[in-house]
Amino acid sequence: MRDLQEKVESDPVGRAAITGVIIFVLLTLLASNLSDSAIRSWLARLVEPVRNGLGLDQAWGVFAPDPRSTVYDLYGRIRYDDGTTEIWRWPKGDPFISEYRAYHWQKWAEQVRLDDNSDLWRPAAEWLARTHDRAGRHPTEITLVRRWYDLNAPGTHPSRGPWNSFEFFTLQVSPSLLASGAQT
Amino acid sequence: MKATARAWERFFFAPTSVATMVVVRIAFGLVALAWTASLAPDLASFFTRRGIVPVQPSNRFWIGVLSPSAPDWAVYLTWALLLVAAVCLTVGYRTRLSSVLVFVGIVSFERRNPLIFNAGDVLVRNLAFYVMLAPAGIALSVDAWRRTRAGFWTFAKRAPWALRLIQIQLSVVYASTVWAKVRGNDWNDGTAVSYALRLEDLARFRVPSFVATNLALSNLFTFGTLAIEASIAVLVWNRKARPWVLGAGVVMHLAIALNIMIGFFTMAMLAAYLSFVPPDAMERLIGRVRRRLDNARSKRQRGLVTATNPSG
Repeated sequence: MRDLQEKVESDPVGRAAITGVIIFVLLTLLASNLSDSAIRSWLARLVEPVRNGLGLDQAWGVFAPDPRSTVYDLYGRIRYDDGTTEIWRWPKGDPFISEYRAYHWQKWAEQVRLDDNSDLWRPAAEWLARTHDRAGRHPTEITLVRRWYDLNAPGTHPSRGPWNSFEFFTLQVSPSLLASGAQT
Repeated sequence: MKATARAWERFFFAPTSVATMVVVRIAFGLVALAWTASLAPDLASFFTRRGIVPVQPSNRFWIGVLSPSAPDWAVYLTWALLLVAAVCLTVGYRTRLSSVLVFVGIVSFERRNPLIFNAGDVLVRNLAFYVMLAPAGIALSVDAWRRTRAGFWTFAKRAPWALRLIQIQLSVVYASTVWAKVRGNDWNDGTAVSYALRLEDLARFRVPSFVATNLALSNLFTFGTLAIEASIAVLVWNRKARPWVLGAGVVMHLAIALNIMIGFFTMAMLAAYLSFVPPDAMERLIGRVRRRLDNARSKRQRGLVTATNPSG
């Protein structure tokens, strides 16, 4: 017995409809992967609503046009009401299974360190405050710190520069933030 | 014009064994399952309004079930449905429905917080779309088993257009990445791989400094990467060259995965590679697996008979 898809594929009208789908997908591939050009812009305008709705938007510039030449790190410093401090780093774990969790945090850290993404700083600090709030030990100040060093070209000495560090956001934690839980 | 139409017809619609497509479904189902599991520890942190990205980044035309106003329980429910659907897709139970749910689930999570995903996740999303369009459950599936036991191992011939889209997508990935790379400086002067290998925040295992900073090795790895990627983009369409370029691609991706933490990129690419295994070769491979399973079952049954009747 033939299923619905097989019936559609063997019917001339159905096959024409599938051909339309194929052509549309091919156009989305062109619109997403051509060089910046007039034809790419035109194609993108044409297919964008459906392409983005279907999740077919894509970019494959992996380590391109150049891999970055700066190593980044990010941590949060949590100061508590008992005077102690704690350093938070994103979960890394083992290099096998945990990697598949850690890379999500690495991608986020790559974004949140940027000045262009300053709208992410307060939510990050508030999330740190809420997740480190314990009975009898409450966060009073969260500081986000980015660290980095530059890589020198291969074959040169030294091969890298020194670590640099910059505190890029500080949040004074209010009791109402910890009490409310959800961000407003 | 007629020749072009005939070639189009043959390429996308000439009935072809579904053996390759159903194996791609199983491989992709496993990738989707692992992908979903990877989100489990951080669902609240990544996707709820109390998390690190409380407001969904806006983009016109993005669709997903995890809208900014979605309550936290919707995140957990969507995740649970995605997990179940990924299992169902892998084993081929209610395959069409499960493939749609996998697609919707993956799109929803990636749209809700795009800041935690990389190119590998984009590929997972794209593959979910193509698998959803394919007759991926008509063999090696619970669905086939429920229809007739023999149907499990029977590979009907069907129009391969969805499989062709996966193949084209794979070729486009390589063409696009090579094009992006050759417009940079470091891929042209042969130093790019040295930088990539020294990104401590991405390193799985630290490559020894004398390797990562050696200019000659860096040139070799950089130009080798470009050569392999360019070869796959083009020569994967040549039946004789295909095993060689895909073999080189497997080695390249495993080497990258060994040194650099790039999430699901390697797994998704290798799942997509399967789309290029010719259906006749895939059927032979599956036939060998079936014979081994049958032999193992026969031996087990003979063992049981001997055990219950020791006097022979």
